[in-house]
Amino acid sequence: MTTHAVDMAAARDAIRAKVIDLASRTGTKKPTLSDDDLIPETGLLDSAAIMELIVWIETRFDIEIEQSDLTIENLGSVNSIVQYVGAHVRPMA
Amino acid sequence: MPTPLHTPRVNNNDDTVRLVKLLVKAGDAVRAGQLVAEVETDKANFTVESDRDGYVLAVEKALNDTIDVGSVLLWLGATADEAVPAFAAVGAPVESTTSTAPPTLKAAQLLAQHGLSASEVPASTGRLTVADVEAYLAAHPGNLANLQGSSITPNEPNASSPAIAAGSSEPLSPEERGMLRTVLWQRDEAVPGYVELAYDAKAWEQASTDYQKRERLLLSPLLALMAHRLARVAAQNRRLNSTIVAERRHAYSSVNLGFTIQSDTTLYLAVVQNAAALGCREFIERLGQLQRGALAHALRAADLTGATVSFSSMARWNVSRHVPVLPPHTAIIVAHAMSRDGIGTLGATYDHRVLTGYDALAALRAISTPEETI
Repeated sequence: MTTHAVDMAAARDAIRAKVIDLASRTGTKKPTLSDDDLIPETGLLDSAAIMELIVWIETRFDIEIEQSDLTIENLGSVNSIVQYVGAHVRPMA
Repeated sequence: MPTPLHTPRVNNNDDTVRLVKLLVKAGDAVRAGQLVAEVETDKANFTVESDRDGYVLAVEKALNDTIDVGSVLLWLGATADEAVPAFAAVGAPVESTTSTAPPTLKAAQLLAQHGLSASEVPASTGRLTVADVEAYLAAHPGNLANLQGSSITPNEPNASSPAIAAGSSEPLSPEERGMLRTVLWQRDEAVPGYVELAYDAKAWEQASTDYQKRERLLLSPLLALMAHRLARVAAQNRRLNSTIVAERRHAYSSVNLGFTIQSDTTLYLAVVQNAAALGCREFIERLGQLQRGALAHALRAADLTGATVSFSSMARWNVSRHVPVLPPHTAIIVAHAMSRDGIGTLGATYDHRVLTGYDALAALRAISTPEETI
């Protein structure tokens, strides 16, 4: 777990913005996404873009994501990503 | 290009030495002046230093071997993924001899470019090749002045040619140099052919979807499963997992699956070692680690070396066909593509010295459908 505190509200916004940004780069016009949507099922991101998202999360929040953690439950939606990140960093009080 | 580090002479009376310490192994990064080995005679011990910064590509001798002074102890490269000359890459102790057969055309051009005659350069096989001449030039730095043009044929322009418009010259990145070597290996050594097969993508997509749901995977495992299928097919057909060394077929003892990964502007060939021995899930996870390493530009040298068969997909970009270049010392690379109208294509660039078009097509047919028990 990282020792620096993370503002989880800001983290949520950043994660959502990153997904939208990646979707825009893979050709989706005006992508929309709710925090509950299962990202792989929306078709917004292909596997390579999801992998890019994973690497971005690791860098942005200074955490290591085990390969075995790459599941729908852990990282399938914006909500689950926020929850996963929150469990691996020290949320800001 | 690969540079040999030769066994030093310890004293004038000894033509052989014994290797008593090996301080590096293939894949290690070394600095100029770093100790890499220790040799001894009856009278003295002597340390061997790297003469440059770079990577150890291959170690040619084993500990406690008695070795000839002047023989190649190990190979160094500027990057970890350089191909060692074929006779060294597989560790086959092929005697270097002066060839009586005429050199290959490109070898003859290179000899002429450096003012050498064929009789001066040892051949690793029955016929002098470009690789032999380049190895000789690397071992004789006095001839290195023109080496950067060594792969340029006389009819092609070079930097000093008046045909080249004014501009600046800049060095290639390690990845660009790796790509250049790959392309030149295919041009100079392999005899490439290409076959392709349209296939019904539905069966694979269904198998992939079922597997993803069953394993609760975040990422579609489609390409990983197809690449794993290739590894298993190659394990069953050793000809696919072979290359030509010294005019003999060299069958690799394990299937190391090369997988192309585009990261920003860099194309990596990441390698899953011993891929056919891994189960589907293990293979997917290992490949996933490599993909993440590539995206972070953090792959290690060992992650990029030793491919024996390869898989490349451009389906992400909806191309209908691509013809990949063979990675050095491999017989086949499979190309996967998917056009916007959903037509799947499997192609294969293959080395015609090793495989026939039928061999390559048979491999594609096998890969075109998933195994029943994924």
